[in-house]
Amino acid sequence: MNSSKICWLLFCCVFPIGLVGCENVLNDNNALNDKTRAQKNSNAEQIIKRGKPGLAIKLDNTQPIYIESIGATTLELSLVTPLTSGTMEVAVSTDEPLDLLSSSHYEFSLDQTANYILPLQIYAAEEGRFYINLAITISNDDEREHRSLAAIVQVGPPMLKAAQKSGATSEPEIIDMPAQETVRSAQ
Amino acid sequence: MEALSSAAVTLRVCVSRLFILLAMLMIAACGGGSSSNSPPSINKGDLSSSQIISSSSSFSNAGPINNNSSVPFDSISITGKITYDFVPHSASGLNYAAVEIYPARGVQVELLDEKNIVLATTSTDEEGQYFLNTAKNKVVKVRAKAQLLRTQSPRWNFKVTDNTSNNSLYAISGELLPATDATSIRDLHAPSGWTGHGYTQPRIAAPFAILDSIYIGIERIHAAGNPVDFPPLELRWSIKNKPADGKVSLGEIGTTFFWGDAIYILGDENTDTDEYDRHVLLHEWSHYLEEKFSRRDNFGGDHSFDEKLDMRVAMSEGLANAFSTMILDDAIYKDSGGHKQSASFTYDISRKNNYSKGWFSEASVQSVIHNLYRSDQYKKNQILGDLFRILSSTEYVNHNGFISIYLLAERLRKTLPGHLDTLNTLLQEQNIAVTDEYGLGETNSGGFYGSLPVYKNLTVNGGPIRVCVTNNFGSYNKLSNFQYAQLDIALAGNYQFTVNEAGISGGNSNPDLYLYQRGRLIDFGETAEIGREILSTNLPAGSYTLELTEERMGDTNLTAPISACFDLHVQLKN
Repeated sequence: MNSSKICWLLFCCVFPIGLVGCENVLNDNNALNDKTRAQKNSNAEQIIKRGKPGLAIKLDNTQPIYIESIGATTLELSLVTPLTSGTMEVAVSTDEPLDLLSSSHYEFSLDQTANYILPLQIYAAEEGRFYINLAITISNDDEREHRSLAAIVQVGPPMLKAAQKSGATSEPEIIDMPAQETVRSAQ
Repeated sequence: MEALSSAAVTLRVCVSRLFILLAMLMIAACGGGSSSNSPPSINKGDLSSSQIISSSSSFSNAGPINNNSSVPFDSISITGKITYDFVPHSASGLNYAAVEIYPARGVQVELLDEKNIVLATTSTDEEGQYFLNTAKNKVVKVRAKAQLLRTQSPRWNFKVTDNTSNNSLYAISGELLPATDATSIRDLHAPSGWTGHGYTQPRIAAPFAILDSIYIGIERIHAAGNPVDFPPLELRWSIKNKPADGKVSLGEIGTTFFWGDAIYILGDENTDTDEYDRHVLLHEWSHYLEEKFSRRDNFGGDHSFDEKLDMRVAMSEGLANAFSTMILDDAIYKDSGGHKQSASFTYDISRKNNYSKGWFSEASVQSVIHNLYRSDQYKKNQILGDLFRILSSTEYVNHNGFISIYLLAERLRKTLPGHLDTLNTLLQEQNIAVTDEYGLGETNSGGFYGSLPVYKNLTVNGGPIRVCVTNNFGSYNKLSNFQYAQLDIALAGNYQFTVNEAGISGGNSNPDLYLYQRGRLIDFGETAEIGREILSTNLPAGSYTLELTEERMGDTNLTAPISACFDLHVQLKN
């Protein structure tokens, strides 16, 4: 093997390692910042997101909410907001195969510091991971603000994690959807 | 033996050369040896007004630049237009009755054969037109990918992918047909999938609508005189993306947000969809710009216009709102949602009578920036361009304190002296002091005595200073969850920061300390000790910012109000 080949081989082996190291340096600072933020809150994965502006309200339940088996069951959704004035309306709906058996509409006066509880009765027709949707509107004087939230409900045991596709490929897979196509002649 | 010796010499020479080469490449790859927190440096000489790209000529060379098909003697041109349905807003959410057909601009278009082999590639122009060549009578189909890709400077690579399907790329395709004169024009259209009462058909237009909002963003940034290369970004959208906090790969994304190298976008029909909400998309894209070209001190979390926020969060979110309205030149921020997407949240970003006013209000920040932008009808582009340059400047990125409206205002005063009076008036209208980059002399406490001064002055071996935090305005990222202190160190050495509880309204306190330099976290003390925290660290001379909080300030599930005061001091140990 001549010297130029040795050089080339060494270069190929060492350069990628260098680049990985470089990338780590570039990302270290934000990673450190976020790590310490994460330590401040057990729910940090969702909180360190920089999201769109939205009504200050959140679900206080640990998610997913587990239901042991199919059939009718009761559960409480708990909403928390720092807002202390106005009226909050909550429209509840479920995705199939969940059925909502209790009221789909709740109204609260925002004058308390405790949580706002939605006592729900639902019927689960099959096992799986489903959602209860909440459309929330808070009215204060002439202003109305909206926010949608969804509670995750796990009926029965969680599914086994599907096998992940191995490794990233250089070319991404493509979701090819049919276009409305118009074909004609140039003439 | 001689051969071995010769080989060893060769290896030594080779290794030393390799080391030099590697070092040079590493320096280049790491951004020329700049601070690890610095954005890609922008040569100011490249950003002179003489090089401003006209918006009308946007990316005209983004046309058939990659048409890699050979042009055989019996070739034929396949041309056409790529379009998508855009659903505009009305006063009551998305207005499906007013759907408009828009060109898909700058998107990747390919010709493929029966085996899905790519024969030729190009990008659409401003009208959505493409132009490709292939062999006559070859059976081909046209595919348009939801990807803005430009490989010549200024470069970018934005693509819309599905986070619930291994981040696969969205695309639309036509039929396989022989390439003849009769089939030489092939227009592809991506429909919305709305059929009167719901999305009963595939929502094919959505990825192209998302991409076109980004195209508008690129166009405006470049037209404002900043022909920068954009780092790659994925826009991850799915019809499964719901406002549930769980597994992103299942679509449980919580909200539309920016994180890492991707923007995650809601797409769940009848709860919240954002593919046609351009302000929302460009708000998140502004966070991407902030991260890649400027500096992010914003640590995220829920936020709204009426809240009193941590100064850094207020600045970043207000800026993102203002950026979205400036890029669209439309002050009314719109976000649709609800049953049949018929609910609409709108907010006039230029509004001055905000419920929450001050240096801690995103509504105030956005009001100041947007109203400055539109204060001179004929210089909007220039102001947008100047703003981008300020945000990416070394002075801003390497500022010793935190990113705030005070810092931006100080830089704006120096960069746009002609707008000084307007800026100062806008600040005063939002109850923000006209002062220096540290908010010195600010009198608007937001209703909590401990929030002023904005930066407490900490001196080495000086007496303790009283610092108070509260969750009166909420937790995690709200006003006075954190307090800041400035510190100048003249001598390198080992310094000990000590915090002792001086009074608390409920329970036991657990104070924590974080030490920053130029926005970079360099050390922290987070022990579980009750009522006390000590941080010892070796520091070179320089200016530092210390952040103090109490552990429960981060607990968003805690509704009981807590206020806690501490005595903070710093000593040079050796």
